[in-house]
Amino acid sequence: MPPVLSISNLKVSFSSDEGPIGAVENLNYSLNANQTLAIVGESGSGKSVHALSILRLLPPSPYCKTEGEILFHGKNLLDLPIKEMRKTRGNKIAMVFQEPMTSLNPVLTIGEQIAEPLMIHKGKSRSEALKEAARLLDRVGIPDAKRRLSNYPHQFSGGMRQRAMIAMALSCNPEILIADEPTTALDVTIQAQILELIKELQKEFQMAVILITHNIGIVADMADQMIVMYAGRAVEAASMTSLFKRPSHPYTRGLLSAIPSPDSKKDRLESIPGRPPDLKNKPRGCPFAPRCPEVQARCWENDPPSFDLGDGHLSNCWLLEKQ
Amino acid sequence: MTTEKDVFHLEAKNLRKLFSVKEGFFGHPKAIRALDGISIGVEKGTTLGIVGESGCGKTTLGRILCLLETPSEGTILYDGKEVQNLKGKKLKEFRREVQIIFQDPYASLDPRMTVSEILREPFIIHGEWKNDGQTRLLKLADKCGIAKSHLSRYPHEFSGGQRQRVGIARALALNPKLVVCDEPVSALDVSIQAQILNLLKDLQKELGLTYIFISHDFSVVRHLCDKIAVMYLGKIVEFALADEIFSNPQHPYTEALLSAIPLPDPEKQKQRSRIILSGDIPSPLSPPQGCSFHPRCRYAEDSCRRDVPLLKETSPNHQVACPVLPLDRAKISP
Repeated sequence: MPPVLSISNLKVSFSSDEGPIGAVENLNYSLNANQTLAIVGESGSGKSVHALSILRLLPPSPYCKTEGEILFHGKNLLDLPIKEMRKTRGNKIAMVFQEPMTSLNPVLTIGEQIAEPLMIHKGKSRSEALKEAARLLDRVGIPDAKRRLSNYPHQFSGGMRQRAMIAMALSCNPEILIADEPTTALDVTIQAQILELIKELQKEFQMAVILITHNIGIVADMADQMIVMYAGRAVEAASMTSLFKRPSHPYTRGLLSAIPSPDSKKDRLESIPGRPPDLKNKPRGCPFAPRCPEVQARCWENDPPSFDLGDGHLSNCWLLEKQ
Repeated sequence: MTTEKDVFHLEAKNLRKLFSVKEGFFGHPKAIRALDGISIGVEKGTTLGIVGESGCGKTTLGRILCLLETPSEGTILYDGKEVQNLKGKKLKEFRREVQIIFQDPYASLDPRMTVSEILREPFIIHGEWKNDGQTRLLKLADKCGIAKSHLSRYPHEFSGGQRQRVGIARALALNPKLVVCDEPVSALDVSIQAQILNLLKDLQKELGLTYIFISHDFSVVRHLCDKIAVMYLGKIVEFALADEIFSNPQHPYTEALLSAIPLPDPEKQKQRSRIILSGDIPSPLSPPQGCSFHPRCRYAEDSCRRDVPLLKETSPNHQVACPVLPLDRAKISP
């Protein structure tokens, strides 16, 4: 089966007074229907920018340059005329944004916001679309859905807003659902509800899901594949089981051990010292070198290529060269 | 732990806090019970964790404990002395010893002050700037991991983790004895979270601080706390030693919270049974009758809908507010 989405050599850079800022560099992956890909990284690693570039929601050139290929069913989304792109966005590829507080329109009712894509993409009448919206709202687990349609976002709790966002994204049966930190703003119990919901809906709609997060723990049982991003590039990519069995990049290991585990009490948490590099003037060599506990002389000089560790497990670290 | 038995560093007895809200312009004011009879204490040099979902009143409790707000009822004892009615000079003295680190490092620092101005303020307010203020400030910044060159910068130039360090430094400026940490890491990335948690732990060891650590994240709390109180809708539903809560959670709400923590391991995650609570935390404007957790509880019995359960000691150092004992639960749940 050909992949639904395949990205090759994706590069996104923003222009600034001090020269271009490379937000995403040389990203490659492909995604099949019904599969979940997790993209993990710290803030500023380019994970959200990459998602926006798929939907072409970034500012136009000269402010922002997107290069490479984003093939959706074999068609390059970056070459699509704007009219075509509008038919795809929200219809075949939909996105759930990070903050349910700021990404809903406060002056439109929840019903109007869910019905909008149905009217635009599916050509439904207003009353039909609202009926469908009620069904969707019910499907994502909001009690008394019909009455809730006429509520405004401020009348919803955080978890309910995120459910409404998901209902909106699902309204046109998308083939790809991109969820950008869908649970970061939520409590743990609500987080568990939302993740469970996304899993269920994926089965029902046979969607491909891209899940973006900074917490590896959240995606451990959700995803099939995972890409770890650092300073705009993928530093490790593998299937979920392989990645947890042998995390190969020092950054991935750092991320894993930084998660406080409820199972064991450690005296100190492992932390990754320092912070991600300034994207305006990235260091020469491996971008992780200044924070890496296992740094070697050549890491400062040359950027490591990806090494294949078998089973499609790729990792960009000089330590792996011999193996 | 070095504790003098039965003497709490800070103790709250039967705290209540009512907020009044009006629904609509002509609406009658209604009372929200943000805190409903909280009794809790923390021993010197230890850490008390307060865990709960948003809206359970944990932040209100934190603010009341450092007297940023006054309780509607109840007493607060600091070193055995009543403090809730302190005013003027006495209150200022209390504030020197009890400080708070706020949740959102983006909102709690004045954007128009440089870092050194922010850190200077506590010294000036308490009249300690004149002699050795500058040297103390530099020492403080160094202790909290703020580079000297950053002191002349403004908060917007920093990342979340760096800002939280400034918040911590400000709270520690005058060598307080007790610090209330209100979700100090919830706005930060995991890798930065670990840095800040380690910093807090180091500072506690070095300065012998007492912490009250408020969080919605159980796994974060485990690494710092000696005792943990779980709050739900303005009440404490379980209070025990940290290890005890993790190994033997007795309130159904605690159980659900613990099982909702995502484990960073796909194998373990698939094996364990997750309890997913349905619905949101109810509105404190119209709390459910009886036990406020019963609409979301899988063990709820008729009596839960009627009677408000009281916090009872089930074993030494373990208090639970649930009448359905764990043994009986096995019979109820399939």
